[in-house]
Amino acid sequence: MRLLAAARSAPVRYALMFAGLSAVVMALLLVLLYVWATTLLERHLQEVIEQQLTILRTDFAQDGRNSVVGLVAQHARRRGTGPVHMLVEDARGKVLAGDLPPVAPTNGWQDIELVPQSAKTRAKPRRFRGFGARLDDNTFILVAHDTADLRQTRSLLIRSFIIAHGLTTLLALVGGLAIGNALLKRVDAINRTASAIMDGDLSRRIPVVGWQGELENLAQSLNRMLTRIEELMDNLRHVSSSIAHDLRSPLGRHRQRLEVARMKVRNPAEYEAVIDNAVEEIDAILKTFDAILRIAQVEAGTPRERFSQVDLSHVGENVVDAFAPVAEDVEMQLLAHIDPNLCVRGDRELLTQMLVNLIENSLRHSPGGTRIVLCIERHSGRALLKLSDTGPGIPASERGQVFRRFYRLDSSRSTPGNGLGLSFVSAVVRLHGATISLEDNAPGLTVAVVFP
Amino acid sequence: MKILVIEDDAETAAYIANGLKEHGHTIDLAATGRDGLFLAAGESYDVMVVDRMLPELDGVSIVRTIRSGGVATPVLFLTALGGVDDRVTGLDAGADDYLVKPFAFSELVARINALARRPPMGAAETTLRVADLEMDLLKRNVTRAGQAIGLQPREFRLLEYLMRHAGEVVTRTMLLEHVWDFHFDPHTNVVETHVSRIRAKVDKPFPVTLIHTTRGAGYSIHDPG
Repeated sequence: MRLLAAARSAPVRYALMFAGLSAVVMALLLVLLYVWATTLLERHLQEVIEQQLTILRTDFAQDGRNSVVGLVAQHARRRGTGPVHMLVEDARGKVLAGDLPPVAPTNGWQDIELVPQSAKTRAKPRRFRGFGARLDDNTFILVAHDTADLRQTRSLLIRSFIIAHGLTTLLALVGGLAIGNALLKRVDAINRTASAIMDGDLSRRIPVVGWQGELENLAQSLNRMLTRIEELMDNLRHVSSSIAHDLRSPLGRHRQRLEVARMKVRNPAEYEAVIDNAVEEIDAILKTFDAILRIAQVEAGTPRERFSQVDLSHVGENVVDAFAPVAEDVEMQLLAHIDPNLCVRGDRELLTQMLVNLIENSLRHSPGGTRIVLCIERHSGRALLKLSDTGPGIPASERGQVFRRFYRLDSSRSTPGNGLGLSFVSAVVRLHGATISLEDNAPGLTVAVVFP
Repeated sequence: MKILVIEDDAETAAYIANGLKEHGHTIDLAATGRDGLFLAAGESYDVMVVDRMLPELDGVSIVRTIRSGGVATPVLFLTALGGVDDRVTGLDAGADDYLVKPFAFSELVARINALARRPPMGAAETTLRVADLEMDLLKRNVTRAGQAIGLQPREFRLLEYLMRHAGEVVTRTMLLEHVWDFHFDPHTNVVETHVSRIRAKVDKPFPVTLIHTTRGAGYSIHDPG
């Protein structure tokens, strides 16, 4: 089962392919080597024969037939069972000398097989390779060489080649399968993690082994991606439950009022009041939806395409101009220290709304007598927007939370607001590549936005 | 007024058409972009209300087409989303104003009136006058019954916008857009605060009130007499 699965997987298929390919190449190489080696051996054998023949021919030319016969006889006596054998026959086929049985005189290369006639019938036939030639006086000479060595070498080569080939192929196969299996295991692990995540367990991560460079890098970056997705999913869950909750309560209230209005016949003025109230309530809900959509749009990064140079000082002046009287009406003070002509790259409208949200946040959560100061200045080459108030501030433990959608401090549950203002601020800050920090103004809160 | 409404959603179209008819306007309705363009190019209207998302031909293309054909009729765009991009592309295409759905009917009426009574291009006024209130746009001063009224620059702009639309209802969002360039709705009463300041200077010392609040809609400046 497992092998079958392995055979279907890409790494194992590649391993098999490479093993096959290496087997073919190896076989070709060995065949070539074999042909080359045996050719060399045969040529050597023929050279020995030709050398001997040349000696005999030269001898014949110089000293005549008897000298040749003498030489052969001497060779036959001396060599015993050596590899080179000779034979001299006269024109009528009579053996004059030599250590080979008489053969039919044939010119040129020939293979000779001698079946021993001794009692030992089991003895193997001896094989020779020889060259026959007729001399000028029709004397036939034959020089032959035992081919036992050659054949032995050949079979040795074949045997060792087969073993070498088999071993190599086996190794390639085993190695390939081992590597393929290891890869398969890693991929399997990734696969299992992915399936578990798809089944809803977002906390699962791909196990990281620590070797196999690229694959581990992949696993690590996949894990980072999963962490980010988990965060986003968390956020989404939080947001959707908050939306449901925050919109459910006003809708419920609204329903109640309509039902009460329906209970008995009322005069037109009363109906009008109920309807006006309903429209107001629905407008508030629509506003919350608009705020959510706007945050989503900013977070999607689309407005970045329309970024231009924005005079931040001008934005600040405009907003303070609009809100200073509003602050005065609730017995607060809104002051500004704005350096002129400080420009940042961004979206004017979003930056304006960001600043408005921050100021409204201070206005809404602070008691009368609070001083709100907006500072826009250059700080070590970067534009800095700082809004400080002397209101109640935000406890240090909650500062990280207030940027979450729908998050509201317990102390401000009763004040109006939807808990989206600072989420929008944080989205705009991120869109502009800026950073935001909340600090203690002792007393009160300082919000600092540093632009890149 | 003769108004062309191009809107594919039947309910919204009926809501707009019936409401405007009650205000005494003549309405032509088109449910698709193609029909709308046909009417817009062939007939003459005082104002067109064009939805952005339409079957066959979208609102931006319609406006672009009629503008390139030389039709100068004021166009009010309706968009489903209040995205920044939506507004800018709409205005770039040649629309004169935009309104995000869902909207209060009073907002639609106020904007249609403002569009229809736009002063013709080039006719620059130098003095605005409502009853005994006078605004000199060149000297940038305001007098009422001969008495000078000191206004902050922003208050001046607010009063100027009201006076340019004298007799019409101007909504909060229109003021936010034109006086402060705020294309979003702040939670605090920015407009109310500033209007009450102007009132304190323009109306309070005098027997006749000129700046009126239309409940649930906005403000208007007019001589009650």
